[in-house]
Amino acid sequence: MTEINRHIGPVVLAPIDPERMKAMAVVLDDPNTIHLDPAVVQALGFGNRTINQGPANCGYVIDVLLDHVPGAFLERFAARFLGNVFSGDVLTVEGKVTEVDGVSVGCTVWLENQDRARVLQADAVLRRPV
Amino acid sequence: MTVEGFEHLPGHPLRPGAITIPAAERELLAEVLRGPVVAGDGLHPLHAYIVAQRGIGESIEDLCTLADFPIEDGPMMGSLQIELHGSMHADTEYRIEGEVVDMLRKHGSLRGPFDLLTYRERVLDPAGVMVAELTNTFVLFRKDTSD
Repeated sequence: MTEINRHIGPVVLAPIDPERMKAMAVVLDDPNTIHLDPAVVQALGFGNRTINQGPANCGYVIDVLLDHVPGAFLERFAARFLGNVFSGDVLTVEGKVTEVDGVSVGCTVWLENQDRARVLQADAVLRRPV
Repeated sequence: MTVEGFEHLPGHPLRPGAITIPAAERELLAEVLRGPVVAGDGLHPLHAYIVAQRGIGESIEDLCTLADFPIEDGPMMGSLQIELHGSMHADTEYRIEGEVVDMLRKHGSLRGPFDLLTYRERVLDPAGVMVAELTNTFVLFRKDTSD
């Protein structure tokens, strides 16, 4: 599972749920209304669906990584947000192992929406259990 | 180069704070992510971001105020970086400190000028040991600028 160029995923996620977005707003203590009110999103010119929190998108990817390397400790996770994720979007997590150095496993992972647009790109380093 | 008029921002300290994540929030995050609950009293790696963001003494609106950006204009995350140096646990008080790294002006072909506000946060355990470091960037699309 951790040899170089080993593929990660693809893992298709359930559609983004606006109710879970509201719950995430509580978890993050983030009142940004782009996650709560479609009218605000529309007024900003981003369409008429609420926008998923970036950290939530990271969470999906982290869970896939930890499932790929069971028992591993995530040492580093660096993500760039390339596009918005909207309520109802269907996301796919995919990636590959890029480096193995003893117990350290480097990966690059990404998140794409149903239109195959990449919305998140991340590099991660996991420490495998000994 | 730092955005003109905001040369005071690089190094500007963020108000420190502290936070404890109760055990029940572990299940709440797992439910939101539709993922597994971490074993024992461990916190999900994403909790490093949550602890830092909620624990620091500055809200997202406060950060926007530093950048003279109205929160209603919708700040968006540009990047998020978590470095974990140790495991984190529920029911443990963590202290958070940090500072603004910089704010840079960029120009987008579609949406015009925007600023990248980068800040760093350090999460310290009860012994004062740093268990996590976060470096995050907000994208601030500017509505009223001649730049």
